[in-house]
Amino acid sequence: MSSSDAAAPGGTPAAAPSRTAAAVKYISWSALAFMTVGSVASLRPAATMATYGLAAAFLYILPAIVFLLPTALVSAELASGWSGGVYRWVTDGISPNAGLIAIWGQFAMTIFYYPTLLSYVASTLAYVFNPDLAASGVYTAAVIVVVYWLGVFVALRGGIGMIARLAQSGLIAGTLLPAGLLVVLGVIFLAQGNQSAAPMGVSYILPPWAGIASLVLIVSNFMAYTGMEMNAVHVNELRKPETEFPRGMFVAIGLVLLILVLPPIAISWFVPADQLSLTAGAMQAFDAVFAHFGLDWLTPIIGLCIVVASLAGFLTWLSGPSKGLLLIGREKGFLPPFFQRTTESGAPVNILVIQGLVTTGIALLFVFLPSVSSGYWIFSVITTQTYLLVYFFIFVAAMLLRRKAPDHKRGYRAPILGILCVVGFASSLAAFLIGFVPPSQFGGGSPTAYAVFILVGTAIIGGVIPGLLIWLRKPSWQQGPAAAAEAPEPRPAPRELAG
Amino acid sequence: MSRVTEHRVIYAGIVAALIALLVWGVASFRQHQQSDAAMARAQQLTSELRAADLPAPNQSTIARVLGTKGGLVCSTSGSDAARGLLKLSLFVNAGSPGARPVVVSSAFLRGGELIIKTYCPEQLESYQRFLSQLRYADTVYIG
Repeated sequence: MSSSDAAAPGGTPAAAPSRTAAAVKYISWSALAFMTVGSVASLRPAATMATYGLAAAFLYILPAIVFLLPTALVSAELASGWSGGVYRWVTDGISPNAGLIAIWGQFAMTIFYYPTLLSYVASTLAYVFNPDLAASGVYTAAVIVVVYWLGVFVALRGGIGMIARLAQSGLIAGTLLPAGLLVVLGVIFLAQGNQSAAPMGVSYILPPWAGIASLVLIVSNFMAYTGMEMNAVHVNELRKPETEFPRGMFVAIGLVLLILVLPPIAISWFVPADQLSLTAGAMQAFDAVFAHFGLDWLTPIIGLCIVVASLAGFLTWLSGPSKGLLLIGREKGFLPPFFQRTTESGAPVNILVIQGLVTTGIALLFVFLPSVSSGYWIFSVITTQTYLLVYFFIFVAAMLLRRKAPDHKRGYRAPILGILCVVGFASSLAAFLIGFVPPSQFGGGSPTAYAVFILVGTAIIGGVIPGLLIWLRKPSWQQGPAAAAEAPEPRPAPRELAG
Repeated sequence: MSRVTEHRVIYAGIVAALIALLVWGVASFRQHQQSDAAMARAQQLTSELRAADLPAPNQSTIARVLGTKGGLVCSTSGSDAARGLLKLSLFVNAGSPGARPVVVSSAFLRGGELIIKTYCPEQLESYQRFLSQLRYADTVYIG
């Protein structure tokens, strides 16, 4: 590491000098790739996307070109030159305040995402054990709360090494194997001479045009790839971050595309769109596929596999944004010391506990208060709008860092970075703007009222709350960046932990 | 307890819990049998689907998945939380962190409506009231 690297703006290089072999707990690049895949792709959306038939491929491939590629390549360049992930890139590229808003946007999204994800886990378990349980609010709330706190326990006690291992196992057992099985059964189904339930002709590659609704459908799916940048916060745990992170990112791109595109198409061969009852989700679709082959006994096994994958993805989300928030909170004094406390393994214990209390409260309201259950989706919209702000900042920061620090050492330099940033920014902006169009759930309400509600909500969550943190910031709350950025686990000797 | 031992205990706990769930799941999962009653219901649903000009899977698959009581569709169709979850599933890429709500096709939900009409008609009115509160657009190809 040259001295010029350290002198670059904000320059915490990807491989920081304090990473001593004896102190750092490494994860492999493949483990990081699997964590990235696990936090972005799963079989959960397969059933709903199957309703679009062959057009599901278009709905994933177009966003991959205009959003996934820019995000992944730009993240690879930034992570190969700067440690710490999103907060560091935006802090160095734009400003510390922008860095806080960016990482807050990522963190805030998870607060409403966890109850959704864990209620999905609850309904999948109910499908396996007793479908009547799915109608019980007490059951759903209990699963959300118990699983969330178990996840916090694992994150706090196990650290990133354990999360990486679990994410890797979860992805293989819970997503790759079931997805492969689904596709193989689909091919056998067609090879047996059965007719596909969804039309598969060339004219069905594009979804039918229904005006603004089609635009909402296509542009909204840009967000299918959100989260590709999230695990860059763990770049310090790689042995050679400048080369290994880009490598992991390229593998992740391929796997994410395979997992998202192929299973929905395979399901659409078996089950007509109108029969993919959404209340039962992917499990009913799997059940129908296995029932066709008389392999009913596979349904509970695959159900548990999907649960395992969901939990692995949950753990990676639990460990990513919270760590980014901790790092910038410590380094710039945005968080009081209470929130800066970590476990021995560097996990932000009080951030996770407070987030857990909020999640528990939200989950209980969601399950027991009909008005909250009915309107919960709108909070999800607001937080995903807030999350899009992260991408605006990332693309702007990447362009500014090329100008501010052209000679800063980067293990990987994205080709045509300017074009990637413009395309990525434009895609993010399109997704943000389309978020103001009322969806099905809003019924016949006023479109203006909807847009105003989303705008105010986004301004409060994405602007007012981080604004308060900036306003209340105290220099005395700052701690050294090196300590914050590394948080290594003491170990007697380095050892490859995963992959 | 040392850190390494603690990690081993956690791993062992996770593996043991998963194995227990697997055994319990396989033992307790009850695929609906293709009984005469289930096949009769499947025949009824197929007729409803055809009358609505919608495609239907083969009857044996319907019987195995929905049985005589409509499976999870009927178990959850009356619950507020399940309705909330249904709204969350009317998202493109539903279930993932990047899920966003869209304007769905009415065909998306008509199959569910016919399942309820066939298997748990007492819940139909409430379900139709729920459906009438949504906006639709023709964004999917049917059959």
